[in-house]
Amino acid sequence: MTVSEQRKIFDQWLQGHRALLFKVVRAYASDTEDQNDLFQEVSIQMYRSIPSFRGDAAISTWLYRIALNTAIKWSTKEKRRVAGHHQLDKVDHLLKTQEDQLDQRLVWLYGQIKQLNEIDRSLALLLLDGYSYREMSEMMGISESNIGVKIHRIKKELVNNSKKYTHGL
Amino acid sequence: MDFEQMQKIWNEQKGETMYAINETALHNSVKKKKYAASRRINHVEISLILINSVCTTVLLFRAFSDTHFWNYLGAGLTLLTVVYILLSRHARKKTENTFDRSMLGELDQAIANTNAIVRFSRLMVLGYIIPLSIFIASKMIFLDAPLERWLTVGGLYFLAFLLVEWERRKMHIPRKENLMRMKRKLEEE
Repeated sequence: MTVSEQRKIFDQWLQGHRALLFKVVRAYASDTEDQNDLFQEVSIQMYRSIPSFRGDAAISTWLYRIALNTAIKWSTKEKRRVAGHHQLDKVDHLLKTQEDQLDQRLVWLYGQIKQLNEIDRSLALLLLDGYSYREMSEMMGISESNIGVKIHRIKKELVNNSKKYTHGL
Repeated sequence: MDFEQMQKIWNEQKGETMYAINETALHNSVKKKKYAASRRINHVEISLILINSVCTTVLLFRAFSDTHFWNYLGAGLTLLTVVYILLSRHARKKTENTFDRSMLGELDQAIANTNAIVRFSRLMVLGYIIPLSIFIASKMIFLDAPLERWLTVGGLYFLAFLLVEWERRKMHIPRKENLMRMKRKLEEE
Protein backbone atom coordinates (compact mmCIF):
# COMPACT_ATOMS: atom_id res chain seq x y z
CA MET A 1 0.00 0.00 0.00
CA THR A 2 1.39 3.41 -0.95
CA VAL A 3 1.53 6.35 1.43
CA SER A 4 -1.02 8.29 -0.64
CA GLU A 5 -3.45 5.34 -0.59
CA GLN A 6 -3.03 5.06 3.17
CA ARG A 7 -3.60 8.81 3.57
CA LYS A 8 -6.74 8.62 1.40
CA ILE A 9 -8.22 5.80 3.50
CA PHE A 10 -7.28 7.69 6.67
CA ASP A 11 -9.18 10.75 5.43
CA GLN A 12 -12.21 8.62 4.51
CA TRP A 13 -12.26 6.88 7.89
CA LEU A 14 -11.83 10.16 9.72
CA GLN A 15 -14.63 11.74 7.72
CA GLY A 16 -17.05 8.85 8.06
CA HIS A 17 -16.37 7.76 11.64
CA ARG A 18 -15.34 10.91 13.47
CA ALA A 19 -18.36 10.64 15.78
CA LEU A 20 -17.11 7.30 17.07
CA LEU A 21 -13.65 8.72 17.78
CA PHE A 22 -15.12 11.74 19.55
CA LYS A 23 -17.19 9.51 21.84
CA VAL A 24 -14.13 7.56 22.91
CA VAL A 25 -12.06 10.73 23.38
CA ARG A 26 -14.79 12.34 25.47
CA ALA A 27 -15.27 9.23 27.63
CA TYR A 28 -11.57 8.86 28.43
CA ALA A 29 -10.11 12.36 28.53
CA SER A 30 -11.28 15.24 30.71
CA ASP A 31 -9.74 18.57 29.73
CA THR A 32 -9.08 20.01 26.28
CA GLU A 33 -5.37 19.31 26.53
CA ASP A 34 -5.94 15.63 27.27
CA GLN A 35 -8.67 15.33 24.64
CA ASN A 36 -6.26 16.67 22.05
CA ASP A 37 -3.54 14.32 23.21
CA LEU A 38 -5.79 11.26 23.12
CA PHE A 39 -7.32 12.22 19.78
CA GLN A 40 -3.82 12.47 18.36
CA GLU A 41 -2.89 9.03 19.75
CA VAL A 42 -6.07 7.44 18.40
CA SER A 43 -5.55 9.03 14.98
CA ILE A 44 -1.98 7.76 14.81
CA GLN A 45 -3.02 4.22 15.73
CA MET A 46 -5.88 4.43 13.22
CA TYR A 47 -3.43 5.49 10.50
CA ARG A 48 -0.98 2.69 11.44
CA SER A 49 -3.72 0.07 11.45
CA ILE A 50 -4.79 0.75 7.84
CA PRO A 51 -2.41 -1.81 6.21
CA SER A 52 -3.64 -4.50 8.65
CA PHE A 53 -7.34 -3.97 7.91
CA ARG A 54 -8.54 -6.96 5.89
CA GLY A 55 -12.24 -6.10 5.83
CA ASP A 56 -13.29 -9.10 7.97
CA ALA A 57 -15.06 -6.77 10.40
CA ALA A 58 -17.04 -3.59 9.78
CA ILE A 59 -14.86 -0.46 9.68
CA SER A 60 -16.70 0.94 12.70
CA THR A 61 -15.98 -2.23 14.71
CA TRP A 62 -12.32 -2.10 13.70
CA LEU A 63 -12.06 1.57 14.61
CA TYR A 64 -13.85 1.09 17.92
CA ARG A 65 -11.38 -1.64 18.80
CA ILE A 66 -8.40 0.54 17.94
CA ALA A 67 -9.79 3.64 19.63
CA LEU A 68 -10.70 1.78 22.83
CA ASN A 69 -7.38 -0.09 23.01
CA THR A 70 -5.51 3.17 22.53
CA ALA A 71 -7.67 5.00 25.06
CA ILE A 72 -7.21 2.32 27.73
CA LYS A 73 -3.44 2.32 27.28
CA TRP A 74 -3.36 6.12 27.12
CA SER A 75 -5.43 6.31 30.27
CA THR A 76 -2.98 4.32 32.40
CA LYS A 77 -0.02 6.18 30.92
CA GLU A 78 -1.82 9.45 31.63
CA LYS A 79 -2.33 8.54 35.30
CA ARG A 80 1.44 8.29 35.65
CA ARG A 81 2.02 11.51 33.75
CA VAL A 82 -0.50 13.53 35.77
CA ALA A 83 1.68 13.03 38.83
CA GLY A 84 4.43 14.77 36.87
CA HIS A 85 3.64 17.73 34.68
CA HIS A 86 1.83 18.68 31.52
CA GLN A 87 3.70 19.47 28.35
CA LEU A 88 3.87 23.18 27.92
CA ASP A 89 5.08 23.19 24.34
CA LYS A 90 1.93 21.72 22.77
CA VAL A 91 1.55 22.31 19.06
CA ASP A 92 -1.67 23.53 17.44
CA HIS A 93 -4.81 22.10 19.00
CA LEU A 94 -6.35 19.38 16.87
CA LEU A 95 -9.81 19.64 18.39
CA LYS A 96 -11.99 22.59 19.16
CA THR A 97 -14.67 21.74 21.73
CA GLN A 98 -18.19 22.81 20.86
CA GLU A 99 -19.58 22.34 24.38
CA ASP A 100 -22.49 24.75 23.89
CA GLN A 101 -24.05 22.38 21.36
CA LEU A 102 -24.26 19.49 23.82
CA ASP A 103 -27.33 18.32 25.70
CA GLN A 104 -26.63 18.69 29.46
CA ARG A 105 -28.03 15.22 30.14
CA LEU A 106 -25.47 13.87 27.69
CA VAL A 107 -22.71 15.80 29.50
CA TRP A 108 -23.89 14.12 32.73
CA LEU A 109 -23.88 10.69 31.05
CA TYR A 110 -20.31 11.18 29.79
CA GLY A 111 -19.36 12.25 33.32
CA GLN A 112 -20.77 9.00 34.68
CA ILE A 113 -19.02 6.89 32.06
CA LYS A 114 -15.75 8.65 32.90
CA GLN A 115 -16.06 7.51 36.51
CA LEU A 116 -16.07 3.83 35.52
CA ASN A 117 -12.80 1.90 35.29
CA GLU A 118 -11.01 1.76 31.91
CA ILE A 119 -12.50 -1.57 30.83
CA ASP A 120 -16.06 -0.78 31.96
CA ARG A 121 -15.88 2.56 30.14
CA SER A 122 -15.26 0.67 26.89
CA LEU A 123 -18.17 -1.66 27.58
CA ALA A 124 -20.49 1.25 28.41
CA LEU A 125 -19.66 2.95 25.10
CA LEU A 126 -20.19 -0.25 23.13
CA LEU A 127 -23.43 -0.97 24.96
CA LEU A 128 -24.82 2.50 24.33
CA ASP A 129 -23.81 2.25 20.69
CA GLY A 130 -25.88 -0.91 20.35
CA TYR A 131 -23.18 -3.58 20.05
CA SER A 132 -24.30 -7.11 20.98
CA TYR A 133 -22.66 -9.17 23.72
CA ARG A 134 -21.17 -11.38 21.01
CA GLU A 135 -19.60 -8.40 19.22
CA MET A 136 -18.30 -7.02 22.51
CA SER A 137 -16.91 -10.42 23.40
CA GLU A 138 -15.04 -10.61 20.06
CA MET A 139 -13.74 -7.08 20.45
CA MET A 140 -12.60 -7.51 24.02
CA GLY A 141 -11.49 -11.14 23.87
CA ILE A 142 -13.51 -12.20 26.92
CA SER A 143 -16.50 -14.53 27.27
CA GLU A 144 -20.08 -13.38 26.63
CA SER A 145 -21.12 -14.44 30.14
CA ASN A 146 -18.36 -12.29 31.61
CA ILE A 147 -19.55 -9.38 29.43
CA GLY A 148 -23.09 -9.99 30.69
CA VAL A 149 -22.04 -9.75 34.34
CA LYS A 150 -20.07 -6.57 33.72
CA ILE A 151 -22.88 -4.95 31.72
CA HIS A 152 -25.42 -5.77 34.42
CA ARG A 153 -23.19 -4.07 36.99
CA ILE A 154 -22.62 -1.01 34.76
CA LYS A 155 -26.34 -0.55 34.06
CA LYS A 156 -27.15 -0.84 37.75
CA GLU A 157 -24.50 1.73 38.64
CA LEU A 158 -25.67 4.20 35.99
CA VAL A 159 -29.33 3.88 36.96
CA ASN A 160 -28.51 4.24 40.67
CA ASN A 161 -26.44 7.36 40.05
CA SER A 162 -29.17 8.86 37.88
CA LYS A 163 -31.46 8.94 40.91
CA LYS A 164 -29.30 11.75 42.32
CA TYR A 165 -29.48 13.68 39.04
CA THR A 166 -32.59 15.70 38.26
CA HIS A 167 -31.51 18.28 35.62
CA GLY A 168 -33.66 18.08 32.52
CA LEU A 169 -35.48 14.92 33.55
CA MET B 1 -33.76 7.66 34.93
CA ASP B 2 -33.87 4.15 33.53
CA PHE B 3 -31.32 2.79 31.10
CA GLU B 4 -33.65 3.13 28.09
CA GLN B 5 -33.83 6.90 28.67
CA MET B 6 -30.05 7.09 28.80
CA GLN B 7 -29.91 5.12 25.57
CA LYS B 8 -32.31 7.62 23.98
CA ILE B 9 -30.20 10.60 25.08
CA TRP B 10 -27.11 8.83 23.77
CA ASN B 11 -28.69 8.12 20.40
CA GLU B 12 -29.77 11.72 19.99
CA GLN B 13 -26.22 13.06 20.22
CA LYS B 14 -24.57 14.23 17.06
CA GLY B 15 -20.93 13.27 17.44
CA GLU B 16 -19.92 15.43 14.51
CA THR B 17 -20.76 18.60 16.41
CA MET B 18 -18.95 17.63 19.61
CA TYR B 19 -15.63 18.88 18.27
CA ALA B 20 -14.27 20.61 15.20
CA ILE B 21 -11.06 19.09 13.83
CA ASN B 22 -8.08 21.11 12.70
CA GLU B 23 -7.28 18.71 9.85
CA THR B 24 -3.95 20.25 8.83
CA ALA B 25 -2.63 20.12 12.39
CA LEU B 26 -3.85 16.54 12.67
CA HIS B 27 -2.07 15.42 9.50
CA ASN B 28 1.13 17.13 10.60
CA SER B 29 1.05 15.56 14.02
CA VAL B 30 0.27 12.06 12.70
CA LYS B 31 3.19 12.32 10.29
CA LYS B 32 5.50 13.71 12.97
CA LYS B 33 4.65 11.09 15.60
CA LYS B 34 4.78 8.21 13.16
CA TYR B 35 8.23 9.13 11.94
CA ALA B 36 9.48 10.01 15.43
CA ALA B 37 8.53 6.60 16.84
CA SER B 38 10.23 4.60 14.11
CA ARG B 39 13.18 7.02 14.08
CA ARG B 40 13.77 6.47 17.81
CA ILE B 41 13.88 2.69 17.64
CA ASN B 42 15.89 2.82 14.39
CA HIS B 43 18.43 5.14 16.02
CA VAL B 44 18.93 2.80 18.95
CA GLU B 45 19.29 -0.27 16.75
CA ILE B 46 21.51 1.32 14.13
CA SER B 47 23.73 3.01 16.73
CA LEU B 48 24.23 -0.30 18.57
CA ILE B 49 24.93 -2.10 15.28
CA LEU B 50 27.44 0.57 14.18
CA ILE B 51 29.23 0.82 17.54
CA ASN B 52 29.55 -2.94 17.84
CA SER B 53 30.59 -3.35 14.18
CA VAL B 54 33.33 -0.75 14.64
CA CYS B 55 34.44 -2.52 17.83
CA THR B 56 34.49 -5.88 16.01
CA THR B 57 36.55 -4.43 13.14
CA VAL B 58 39.02 -2.70 15.48
CA LEU B 59 39.47 -5.84 17.58
CA LEU B 60 39.91 -8.01 14.48
CA PHE B 61 42.51 -5.60 13.06
CA ARG B 62 44.33 -5.68 16.38
CA ALA B 63 44.17 -9.47 16.29
CA PHE B 64 46.15 -9.41 13.01
CA SER B 65 49.09 -7.68 14.70
CA ASP B 66 48.58 -9.09 18.19
CA THR B 67 47.14 -12.57 17.87
CA HIS B 68 46.10 -12.66 21.47
CA PHE B 69 43.06 -14.55 22.77
CA TRP B 70 41.55 -11.34 24.26
CA ASN B 71 41.20 -9.69 20.87
CA TYR B 72 39.40 -12.68 19.38
CA LEU B 73 37.14 -13.02 22.40
CA GLY B 74 36.25 -9.32 22.31
CA ALA B 75 35.59 -9.42 18.56
CA GLY B 76 33.40 -12.50 19.03
CA LEU B 77 31.36 -10.84 21.77
CA THR B 78 30.72 -7.65 19.84
CA LEU B 79 29.95 -9.58 16.65
CA LEU B 80 27.41 -11.71 18.53
CA THR B 81 25.72 -8.52 19.72
CA VAL B 82 25.50 -7.23 16.15
CA VAL B 83 23.93 -10.50 14.97
CA TYR B 84 21.45 -10.47 17.87
CA ILE B 85 20.35 -6.88 17.20
CA LEU B 86 20.03 -7.57 13.46
CA LEU B 87 17.83 -10.60 14.15
CA SER B 88 15.61 -8.82 16.67
CA ARG B 89 15.33 -5.84 14.30
CA HIS B 90 14.23 -8.19 11.53
CA ALA B 91 11.63 -9.77 13.82
CA ARG B 92 10.37 -6.34 14.91
CA LYS B 93 10.02 -5.15 11.30
CA LYS B 94 8.03 -8.27 10.46
CA THR B 95 5.50 -7.69 13.23
CA GLU B 96 5.19 -3.94 12.69
CA ASN B 97 1.65 -2.77 11.88
CA THR B 98 0.00 -5.99 13.02
CA PHE B 99 -3.07 -5.64 15.17
CA ASP B 100 -4.61 -8.43 17.13
CA ARG B 101 -8.31 -9.15 16.74
CA SER B 102 -9.39 -8.55 20.32
CA MET B 103 -8.58 -6.24 23.18
CA LEU B 104 -7.32 -9.15 25.26
CA GLY B 105 -5.16 -10.24 22.34
CA GLU B 106 -3.86 -6.72 22.00
CA LEU B 107 -3.05 -6.63 25.71
CA ASP B 108 -1.29 -9.98 25.42
CA GLN B 109 0.74 -8.59 22.53
CA ALA B 110 1.63 -5.49 24.56
CA ILE B 111 2.64 -7.70 27.50
CA ALA B 112 4.75 -9.87 25.17
CA ASN B 113 6.45 -6.74 23.77
CA THR B 114 7.16 -5.43 27.26
CA ASN B 115 8.52 -8.85 28.24
CA ALA B 116 10.80 -8.71 25.21
CA ILE B 117 12.09 -5.30 26.31
CA VAL B 118 12.66 -6.57 29.88
CA ARG B 119 14.49 -9.60 28.44
CA PHE B 120 16.56 -7.38 26.15
CA SER B 121 17.44 -5.16 29.09
CA ARG B 122 18.50 -8.20 31.19
CA LEU B 123 20.51 -9.47 28.27
CA MET B 124 22.28 -6.10 28.05
CA VAL B 125 23.49 -6.66 31.63
CA LEU B 126 24.11 -10.42 31.64
CA GLY B 127 25.16 -10.95 28.05
CA TYR B 128 26.81 -7.65 27.22
CA ILE B 129 27.89 -5.33 30.06
CA ILE B 130 29.10 -8.06 32.45
CA PRO B 131 31.01 -10.19 29.87
CA LEU B 132 32.48 -7.07 28.30
CA SER B 133 33.57 -5.70 31.67
CA ILE B 134 35.09 -9.09 32.59
CA PHE B 135 36.86 -9.06 29.26
CA ILE B 136 38.18 -5.51 29.74
CA ALA B 137 39.17 -6.22 33.36
CA SER B 138 41.04 -9.37 32.36
CA LYS B 139 42.81 -7.48 29.63
CA MET B 140 43.74 -4.68 32.05
CA ILE B 141 45.15 -7.22 34.52
CA PHE B 142 47.11 -8.77 31.69
CA LEU B 143 48.45 -5.36 30.62
CA ASP B 144 49.02 -4.26 34.23
CA ALA B 145 46.89 -1.10 33.78
CA PRO B 146 47.41 1.88 36.13
CA LEU B 147 44.94 2.57 38.96
CA GLU B 148 43.34 5.64 37.31
CA ARG B 149 42.43 3.59 34.27
CA TRP B 150 40.85 0.97 36.52
CA LEU B 151 38.82 3.68 38.24
CA THR B 152 37.70 5.33 34.99
CA VAL B 153 36.77 2.13 33.17
CA GLY B 154 35.24 0.56 36.28
CA GLY B 155 33.23 3.71 36.99
CA LEU B 156 31.89 3.87 33.44
CA TYR B 157 30.86 0.22 33.44
CA PHE B 158 29.21 0.59 36.83
CA LEU B 159 27.32 3.67 35.58
CA ALA B 160 26.15 1.79 32.46
CA PHE B 161 25.02 -1.10 34.68
CA LEU B 162 23.09 1.25 36.99
CA LEU B 163 21.38 3.03 34.09
CA VAL B 164 20.23 -0.18 32.40
CA GLU B 165 19.00 -1.57 35.75
CA TRP B 166 17.22 1.69 36.59
CA GLU B 167 15.49 1.76 33.20
CA ARG B 168 14.26 -1.80 33.62
CA ARG B 169 13.04 -1.39 37.20
CA LYS B 170 11.52 2.08 36.87
CA MET B 171 10.13 1.97 33.34
CA HIS B 172 9.71 -1.45 31.80
CA ILE B 173 8.65 -3.54 34.79
CA PRO B 174 6.01 -1.01 36.04
CA ARG B 175 4.65 -0.82 32.50
CA LYS B 176 4.35 -4.60 32.36
CA GLU B 177 2.65 -4.66 35.78
CA ASN B 178 0.20 -2.03 34.58
CA LEU B 179 -0.70 -4.11 31.53
CA MET B 180 -1.06 -7.26 33.65
CA ARG B 181 -3.36 -5.37 36.04
CA MET B 182 -5.46 -4.24 33.08
CA LYS B 183 -5.62 -7.80 31.78
CA ARG B 184 -6.80 -9.05 35.18
CA LYS B 185 -9.45 -6.33 35.20
CA LEU B 186 -10.58 -7.42 31.75
CA GLU B 187 -10.83 -11.06 32.79
CA GLU B 188 -12.27 -10.60 36.30
CA GLU B 189 -15.77 -11.88 37.33
